[in-house]
Amino acid sequence: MAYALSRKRLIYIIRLLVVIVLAYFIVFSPVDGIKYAGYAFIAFYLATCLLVFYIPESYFYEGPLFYGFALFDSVMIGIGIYLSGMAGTDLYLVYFFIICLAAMGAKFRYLMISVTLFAGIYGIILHNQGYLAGDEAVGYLLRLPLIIIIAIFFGFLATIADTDSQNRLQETERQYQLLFNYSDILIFTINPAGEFLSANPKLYKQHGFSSEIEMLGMPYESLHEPEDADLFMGHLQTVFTTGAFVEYESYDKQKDKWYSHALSPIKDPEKGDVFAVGGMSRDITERVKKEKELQKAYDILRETREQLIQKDKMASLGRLASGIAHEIRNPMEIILMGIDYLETNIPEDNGTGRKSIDRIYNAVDRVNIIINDILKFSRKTAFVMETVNVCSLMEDVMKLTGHHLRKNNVSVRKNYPAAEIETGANRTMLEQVILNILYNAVDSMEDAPTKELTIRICEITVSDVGYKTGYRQTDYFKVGEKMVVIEIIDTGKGMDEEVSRKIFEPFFTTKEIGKGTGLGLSLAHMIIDRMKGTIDVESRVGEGTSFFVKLQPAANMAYIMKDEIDEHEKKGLDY
Amino acid sequence: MSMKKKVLIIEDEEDFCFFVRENLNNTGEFEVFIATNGAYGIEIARKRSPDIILLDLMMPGMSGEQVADELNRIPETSGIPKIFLTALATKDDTGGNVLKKSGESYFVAKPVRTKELVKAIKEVLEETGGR
Repeated sequence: MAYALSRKRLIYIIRLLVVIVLAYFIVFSPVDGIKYAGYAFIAFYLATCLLVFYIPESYFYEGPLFYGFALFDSVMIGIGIYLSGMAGTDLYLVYFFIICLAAMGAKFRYLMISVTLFAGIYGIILHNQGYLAGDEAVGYLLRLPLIIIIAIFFGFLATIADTDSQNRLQETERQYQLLFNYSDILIFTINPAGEFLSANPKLYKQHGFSSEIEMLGMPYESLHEPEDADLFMGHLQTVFTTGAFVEYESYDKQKDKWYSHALSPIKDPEKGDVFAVGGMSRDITERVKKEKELQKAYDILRETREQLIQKDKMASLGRLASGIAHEIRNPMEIILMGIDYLETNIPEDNGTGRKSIDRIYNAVDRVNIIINDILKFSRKTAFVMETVNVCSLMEDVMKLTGHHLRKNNVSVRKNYPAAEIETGANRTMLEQVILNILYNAVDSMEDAPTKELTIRICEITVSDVGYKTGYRQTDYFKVGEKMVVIEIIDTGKGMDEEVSRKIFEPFFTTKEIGKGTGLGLSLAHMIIDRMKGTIDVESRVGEGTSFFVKLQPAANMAYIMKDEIDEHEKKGLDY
Repeated sequence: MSMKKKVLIIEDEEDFCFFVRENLNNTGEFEVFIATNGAYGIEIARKRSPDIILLDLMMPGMSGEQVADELNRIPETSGIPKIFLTALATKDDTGGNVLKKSGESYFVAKPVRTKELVKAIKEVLEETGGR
């Protein structure tokens, strides 16, 4: 822009100089008769000079303007010289300003036309005013070829300079062409209808065309998947309507590739509206894959950390439990024996006394249950692991809970496989875990409109992706190996994410005091953990909860027993 | 019942001993002796030759195990059946039973009610020949 302004200014200044010189000669002319015509001329010429400021800058880079000026000024200077009546002086040299001006247009031919015109006019003036007759006629006549020779000289200089800059321009264009043709980036321009206006070789080859021509006018939608096309057209519209630069990423399902796109508006330099959009697309599959791997690694790390914290909590609770169990149980024993003693001293007909005894006993029993639960966290006792038929175990549990389920109007849908599925587990403990989950499920469906319990048992191969969401990648299950899965799905009130996350924490309960110790599920977690399995939960508020108990197949018994044996041997007297 | 069985309780909790003695006495089937530490327990065992000894595992000074070892070393007390009382086990570990046999030793998990304790004592006496 700075250059455009300086060119305009330059022309303005040159023309002003011309006017000043002409005015000087006209005002101080010895010829009297044409003075007023001279002043009018100066005023007019000055006015045309001032008008230059109202011409838009961009016109100063176009040929017609220069030669319009050159022709106009040639005539004007001719008139000026005539009006001054001083054609014999060196006034004609003023014209060289105009040659300089016209040379900027770098069109040699037009320059010569303008110069010839001026030389002609000047020749006529010289002739009219009698300079071409007499002794110095040759001297005056020689001025005409001189004007032309100087114009030729300026013209050459300008052309050379121009060719130079053109060469430079061509080189730059060649570089752009290289970028366009050989870049790994897909480059294109596109119109508002989404039809290609240009496409670089990388792009048209990718779509199976052998030349750019074949691809021009093709709608974007016909070359891409509908989802991809919709996304693109949406962004395209944004660019056209707002004139803003848009960047986005997309996924090509067919090719399994990720792309990053940049859409830039191409604006009409005059009107400023967007008439096309230039686009660049880049394959970022590698980067995205790396990002995903990183995310996955991070997720696993976070998961592992949470599990470690959980295990640590359990372990501390275990240590605490075994420490206090003895301290609490001894006074409890005294209380129990004391009740027994008092009971014998209360007459049969003392109903209140008997009832009181029962109540105290129940309270002690409750304390005892809690201590037993807490004590289970300590690894004082070794689990006896055996091969357990999961379906028959589930049937046993269903028999135990049958009454409870019927009483609460819960219907059960079973989905067991035909083949027998066996896991390695402590049968009693596994029963307890499933009972716990079932009772929780029934509790959660208390006010639910549909009360349905789905129980699914299956054996699957551990995949990299994981079995359903909520699958935690633990060291217990290796990709490619078998895994026994028990799914218990209810249609209860569900839990929010916060509760789901805390559900396996010791002493976390949503039930009222006295209804749950908040240890059931954390115990279940610990029990399943000792069987080298995992227990996960997936829940939606108002829709229900799914528990996934994942266990080792019976074939991995040695692995399941590994730590149990160690514990057992370490303890010696274990009971 | 021809004769009351003699039961010796070696246990540091005096209150517990008091109630157990009262409760067992109340059944009319047992005669109960009490020792509140291991050394005294061994002495009484030798003096009274009880039919069965209830032995707390965790005691200050001599532990239940040490007392048992000592009793087994002494000829006149080595044949007396012993039930260890422990606060560290739970009924679940014993498969729901109050009494558990592990090797040659019998265990009863605390807390226990009188009738369960009586049942356990009788079972052990029966198994060991009711001497």
